Amino acid sequence: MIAFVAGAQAAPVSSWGTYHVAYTLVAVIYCGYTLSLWTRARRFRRSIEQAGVSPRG
Amino acid sequence: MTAAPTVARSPASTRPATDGPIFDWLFVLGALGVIGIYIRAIYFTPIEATQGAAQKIYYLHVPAALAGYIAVSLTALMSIVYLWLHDERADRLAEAGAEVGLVFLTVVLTTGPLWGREIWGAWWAWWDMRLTLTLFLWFVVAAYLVVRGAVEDAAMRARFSAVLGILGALLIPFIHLSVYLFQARLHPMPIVLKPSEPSLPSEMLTTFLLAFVAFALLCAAFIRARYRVGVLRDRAAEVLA
Amino acid sequence: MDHVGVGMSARPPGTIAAAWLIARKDLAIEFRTRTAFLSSLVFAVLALCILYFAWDESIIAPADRAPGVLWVVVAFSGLLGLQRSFSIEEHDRGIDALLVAPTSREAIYLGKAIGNLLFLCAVQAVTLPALVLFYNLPVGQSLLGVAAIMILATIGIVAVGTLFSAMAVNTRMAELLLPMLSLPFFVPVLLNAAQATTRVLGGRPAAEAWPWLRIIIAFDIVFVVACTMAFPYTLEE
Repeated sequence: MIAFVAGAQAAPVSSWGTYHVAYTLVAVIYCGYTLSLWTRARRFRRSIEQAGVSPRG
Repeated sequence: MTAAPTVARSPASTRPATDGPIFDWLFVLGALGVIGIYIRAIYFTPIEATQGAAQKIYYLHVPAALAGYIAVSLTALMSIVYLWLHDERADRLAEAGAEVGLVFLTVVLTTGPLWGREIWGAWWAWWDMRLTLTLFLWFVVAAYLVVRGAVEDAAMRARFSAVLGILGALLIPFIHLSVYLFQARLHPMPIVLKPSEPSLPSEMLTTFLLAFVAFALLCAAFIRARYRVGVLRDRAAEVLA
Repeated sequence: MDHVGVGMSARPPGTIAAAWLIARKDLAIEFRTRTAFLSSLVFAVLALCILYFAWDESIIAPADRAPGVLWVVVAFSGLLGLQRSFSIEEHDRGIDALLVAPTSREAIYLGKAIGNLLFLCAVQAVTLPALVLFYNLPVGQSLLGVAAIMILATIGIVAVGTLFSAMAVNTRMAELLLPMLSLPFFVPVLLNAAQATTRVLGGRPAAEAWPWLRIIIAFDIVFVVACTMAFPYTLEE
């Protein structure tokens, strides 16, 4: 038996919108973080390579 | 600044600048897992009768909470390890755990109100222990990351972060106790049972369990990737110094 | 530096004695100028007044709002007081003198913490009567209960605040960092203190306030010990 919480409504069709928003938002957060990691890695690799190329550092 | 003798420079410049991609098979697995969960939750899991489609947010909300807690626990553990062994790898892992943990906790704090608005009619439920605890945990982790950003000396940064990590871990039980007492005394409604308790129809339960696995894999992959970014950052700082 | 009367014995003072000396030194410096004390005091009393106007007094009685207002004001005036505890050492690198002295690191922490405790209690000693004045609270035994809660809560506030003040002073953004670090740690203290204060001011039996107080006392014990142990790590090696 799924427990009722005081105030739960009967299945509102309007909750379709919310659930799409939530799923999109989570996808955006994860993709954004992935991008952030990748960009940072690229930036650091570039500075390492540049410093390695010119011995004066 | 005059160049240091090239002998001292050579170790950094002869090491391969790239040790391989930061995202490896683990990440691919985690990402595919989460995509799989999305597909499964959206198309192959039935809509729950009383709560409607919004209940599906639950498949993202709870696993993200668990993954976030695991990541943050890693930070606390690595803080202890660092103070004990002074190994910079422990510090880097703590940092990775904190940042990844913050991302997952953000997911919890954004999906929570969206779901709560549909289910309880209120954006925020202070009596929802998990949500409230996650909120305060978020602040502690954010403070941890701000401290890391604010201290320039690497050794001091590691020490300060480790202290904060341990104190933060000590704080959480007190927040839990305080909020529990608050909601027990002032809102004597039963603690919200997770609407998807054990007697779930099997498709929902499966989606749920698979979601835990997928999010845990993604979390581990992010931590590994963030750790590697940390390695690259330290190497870049060392080479530029 | 003033000769604070270490005495003729060649043995360095023990931890508690050293802590007390450091606390006295800080308070002596403070009361010479009284700037920080007066600033915190004015802030606290002004904040009480400003917050009074945030609500419609015909809808919520001032006496009902008083506990919440009190603890918000205590938290923020406390932060002001905590800011200064290590920033006074910045000038002339006074911290180095403390480190060289034959006292344990823990004694430095305890001394600073005790100094902060006395400072905050002094500010609160004026804040509470001001609260009674502006919010029309009945004067009676309940105020003793509130004072007791204030002292217990301040111990917790000072324990974490002193440690974070030591950390923050080493960074570029000390004034921003201290609140950001401290406030999450104040949450259990403030929450429980406000709830306990509501019970006490409402004339409820002491047993009702006890569950809240219990958590504050546990917090105090755990964090005084933990912060004392953590303090040496915040100093430069």
